[in-house]
This record gives sequence, C-alpha cells and structure tokens, in this order.
Amino acid sequence: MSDDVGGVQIDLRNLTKRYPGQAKPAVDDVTMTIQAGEIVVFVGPSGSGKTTTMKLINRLIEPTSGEILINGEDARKKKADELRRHIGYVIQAGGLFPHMTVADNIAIVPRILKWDRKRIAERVEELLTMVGLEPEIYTTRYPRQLSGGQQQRVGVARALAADPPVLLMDEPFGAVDPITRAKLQDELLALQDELSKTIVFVTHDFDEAVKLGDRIAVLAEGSRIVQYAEPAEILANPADDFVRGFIGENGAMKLLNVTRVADIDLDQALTVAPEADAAEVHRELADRDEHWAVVLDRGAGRPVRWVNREELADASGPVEDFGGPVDVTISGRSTLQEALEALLRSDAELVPVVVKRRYRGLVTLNTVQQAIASLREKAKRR
Amino acid sequence: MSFWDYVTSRWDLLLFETYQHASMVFQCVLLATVIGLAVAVATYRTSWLANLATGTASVIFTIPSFAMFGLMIPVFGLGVVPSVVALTLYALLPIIRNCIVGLSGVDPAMVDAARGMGMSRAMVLARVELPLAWPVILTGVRVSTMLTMGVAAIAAYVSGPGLGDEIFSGLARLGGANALNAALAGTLGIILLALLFDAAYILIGRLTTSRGLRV
Ligand SMILES: Nc1ncnc2c1ncn2[C@@H]1O[C@H](COP(=O)(O)OP(=O)(O)OP(=O)(O)O)[C@@H](O)[C@H]1O
Ligand SMILES: [Mg+2]
Repeated sequence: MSDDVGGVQIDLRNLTKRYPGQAKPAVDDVTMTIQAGEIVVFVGPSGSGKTTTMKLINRLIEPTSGEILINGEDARKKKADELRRHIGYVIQAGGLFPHMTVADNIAIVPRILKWDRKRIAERVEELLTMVGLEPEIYTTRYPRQLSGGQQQRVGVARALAADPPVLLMDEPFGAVDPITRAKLQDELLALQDELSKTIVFVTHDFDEAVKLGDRIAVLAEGSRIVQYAEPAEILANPADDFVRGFIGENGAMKLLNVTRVADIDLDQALTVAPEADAAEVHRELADRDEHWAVVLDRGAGRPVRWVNREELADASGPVEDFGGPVDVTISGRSTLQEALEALLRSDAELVPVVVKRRYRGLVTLNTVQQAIASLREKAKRR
Repeated sequence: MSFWDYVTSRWDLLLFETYQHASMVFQCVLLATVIGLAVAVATYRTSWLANLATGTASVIFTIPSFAMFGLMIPVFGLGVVPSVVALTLYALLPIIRNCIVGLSGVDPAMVDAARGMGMSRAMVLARVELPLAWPVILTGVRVSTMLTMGVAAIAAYVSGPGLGDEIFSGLARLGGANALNAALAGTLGIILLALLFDAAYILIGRLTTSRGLRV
C-alpha cells in the first residue's frame, strides 16, 4: 500500500496505437505528462481515442510504438497483470460483476494481493463508508439490487480497494441523472482532497471536465492534444474553434465558475476598529475620497458593520454606533459565480470576502469584470 | 399378467436396469461436459475455431442413432464401451454449443474490467466468465441429459446396459407373453428417470447459480 504517497506521475512519450486493418492510428504520437496527484480529464469527440489512450496506460492494449512511464518506470518492463493491480480502473456504469456481492466485488484486488480476511473485511467497510454507502446494508447486496448511482459508487470503491496511486476512470458517471451525477462528482472531489491520487478521467461532458479537472486535455482524432491546460485557462483562452466548440456558448459564465474569489485582485476599503472615533473615520474617508468603511471585530478581524461617509458627517463617539450590520459575506473559496450571486441577491454594491474568518477585501461587480479581463489577458500571454 | 404384476414380479431386475440406465447417462453426460467445456474454453475466443467445434459436433449429432451404435461395433465390439462412446458423442453437441454461446456471450466490458483489475486469463475464466456463462452452460447440460436419456435405450442394440433391453426384447417378441409389458416398463422407466433428472437440474441450478444472477 502507498497511503502516504498519494499519486505518481505518468508520462506518455510518442505513444502510438494502430489497430490492425485501420488506416489511421487510434492514438497518434501522443506525448503528455500527467502530474502526480492531479485529476486530468480527457475530453474529445466519440472515436477520438480517449478509451484507447486510457487502456494503453494499464496495458489492456499494447502500444504500436512509444513509451509509458509510471512514476518514472517503463510500464512495459513490468508484468501486465502485476501493473494493473496497482492501477484502479473504473469503466462506464461501474462494470461490477453481477454474480458477486458488493463486498466480493470490492475485495477482488485485495484477494489477488493475498491480504488476510480481516484486513479485507475492514477495508471493504472503510471504502463503503467512504463512498457513502452503509456497510451493514450494502456488503451483502448484489449489483442488480443497487441503483445506477449506487453501482457507480461501488465501482469507485472497488477501484480504490488496494489504494492504487493511479486511477483510470472511463466515463464513470455516464449513465446517471444530472443530480446524482453532480453528487458523485462532489464525492469524487472530496475523496481526492483526502487521497490525492493521479486520476485520468474520460468524459464527453465539458462541464464535468471543468468541475473535476486540475487540467483538461482536449483531444481530437488520433488522441491529438489540441489543448492541455487548467480549466480556467482553456475557458479564458481556447486554443482554436475546435476547443471553443467544446466549451459551448457560455464560456465566460463557466470561467466565473472555476475561478475562486481568493485568487483574484480584491478591492480594498478603509478598515476600522469598532471603538474608532466616528469623526476621525469621517475625516479619513474624505481624505481618501472613499465612501465606505468596514468595521472589523476586535481581535478576530471579522467584518461586522458597514459605515458610509454621509452617516458619519457631524458624528461623534465610537464608530460602531453608526451604519448597519454586515449580513452577507463570502468565503475566499467561493467561485466568482457565487460572488456574483451574492452581489445580486443583496442590495449591497460590495460584499466583503472572508478567509478563515478574517476580512480580506471586497468584491464588487467591477472587481468581477476586472478579474475576468485579467484572466483572459494572462491566458493570452502564456 | 397385468402390467403391475409384471413390474412387481421383475422388480429387482427393473430396478437394476433403471440404475444402470441412469448411471450410464450420468457418466456419459459428465464425460461430455468435461470434454465439451474443454473444447469450448479452447475455442470460444477464436471465431473460426468455435465454428469448427460446433460444426463438428453438429455433424456427429446428425448421424442416426442406430447407425452410430452400429458403427461402434467393429471398433469397440459389444457392451459398455461402445455404448458409452456413442452416447458421449451425442451428448456433446448441446453442451459444446451452449458453452461457446455462454462464454462468448459474456459482456466484453466484464472481461475488460476483470483484466483491468489485474486478473490473469485463468482467473478471468474461473471467476468471471464461467460463473456468468453458467446458467447457459447448465441449460446445455440439461438438454443433453434429456436427449441422452432417450438415445441410451438404443445402447441395448450393442448389448449395452440399461432399460433399452426391456424395450428391445419386448418389441422383438411382440404378441408374445409380456412383450408389451416389457416395452412399456422400459419406456415408463425412462420417462420417470428423465423427470427425476430434470428436477435434479432445477435444484442444481438453484444451488450453483449465483444469487446475484437470479435477482
Ligand atoms: N478493438 C478495436 N479494434 C479496432 N479498432 C478499434 C478498437 N477499439 C477502438 N477502435 C477504433 O479506434 C478509434 C478510437 O476508439 P476509442 O474507443 O479509443 O474512442 P473514444 O475516444 O473512447 O470514443 P468514445 O467517446 O465513443 O468512447 C475509433 O476509431 C475506434 O473505431
Ligand atoms: Mg471511450
């Protein structure tokens, strides 16, 4: 087992696969590096060679030429069966064996690896809990007694059974409704936060790619890499019309969705302590020619009140006696989309951003617009 | 003598013949299952080989049973050996065909998933393909048993064991004393055996097919 190691790096070098009797190679001279601990999503049209590329990694298909390095080691130097026991594999609709119980399905690789009974039973229980299925209920069930979403959870648990550093997932959430799919995606991300495996994930759904991928590889026929970059970069600056076609119409909206508030340049306002003198604050606002000041909690640095310049005209006493309470804040982990949502929902023109309960800055409509523009600018310069 | 009197007077012999019949059918089907499975496992992944195996079994199957038993005499003489060889050859077709159909009918995604988890070819066969194909294979064995049950009566022609002797001797002296009774006893015995075996298969099917495939 490799509990603490997490994922490993995968390198594809000039990888080519030509099926017998086919004019064009299904995978044509592909070179790419998949960083350790990242989720890399392959998106591309049907027949572009995504599945073939994936099967080349676990050697279900042998390459015509080229190399695969897993953690720097040539995958072909190992015995194929041996190699596969350390690469989790999830296929469409889970691919569970209908004649085995959920527990037996999950226990397949641990049994091949000759773990003892007790350890296997514990592992099965742990994994079922991890993917949100109650062990008492589900260990003895058969796959056909599960819903599609539950089957897919078991499929993920089975792939994780022997804690492989690499996970290959071929359209794993293809056959479920959008709500279940979103839930499975969230669960995968939560798992990945904990496990940081190297995950290669295939999908047709660009939104899924954006949501899950640390990086997205947009593939054309022959598994040709049209663009390989972080989701935000692809959204901000698609390489060509092919990629643009995949993104669809509302790329800018999707960009809002993948950008975190903590990662953009925030506006700053005057920050004052609750006991600050109101007249003093008024003078300072006038000096800076600003309108709003944020009153921060003593010690914690949490925004508690807004005060504006007019309210403080001719005022005296502590500033905390003026203005109104801060009722909407957003976390630095929120996406720009959520920030926008908060701005539109509240009447305020500004929403304070809080990271670990401390004030960080402000978001306004203008901040969001500026951020998108600068993302585009940055993506172009790269 | 009434049929009932005939049966009671020759009860021991009839019982022995029935036992012989059942035992011969059982052993021939068992042998055919072993051979059929081996042939199917060796051929199902290559379509022309699989076709060759099924084709050969079909040709054997079309040989009329009398001719088949007759052909055994010059090679194996009379008695148990020619009976067993002929019956086993007959029993092969349904078994080979169902084994091949069953094994090649396993969803390729299942095999991919199994291989992808690092199972060796043998493990895939034993743990995934055979269990999944099992209901189809068992049906083949069952059909084969029913078929063999009837054909086994002809074994009497080469002096083989079983209830065929009752039928043959009865028909040979039709009109004579107890001729009809003998033929009837043999035929009824075979039908009873067939029903018994069929019930056994239903039980075996229940016991050996994964519950996961039946839900
Ligand atoms: N076993 C095979 N034998 C011959 N050709 C194959 C085989 N498997 C795939 N191909 C061909 O290779 C090409 C790539 O197939 P692949 O399955 O990798 O595509 P994909 O990107 O996964 O498509 P999809 O999105 O539909 O799953 C296709 O043109 C396909 O017809
Ligand atoms: Mg595919």
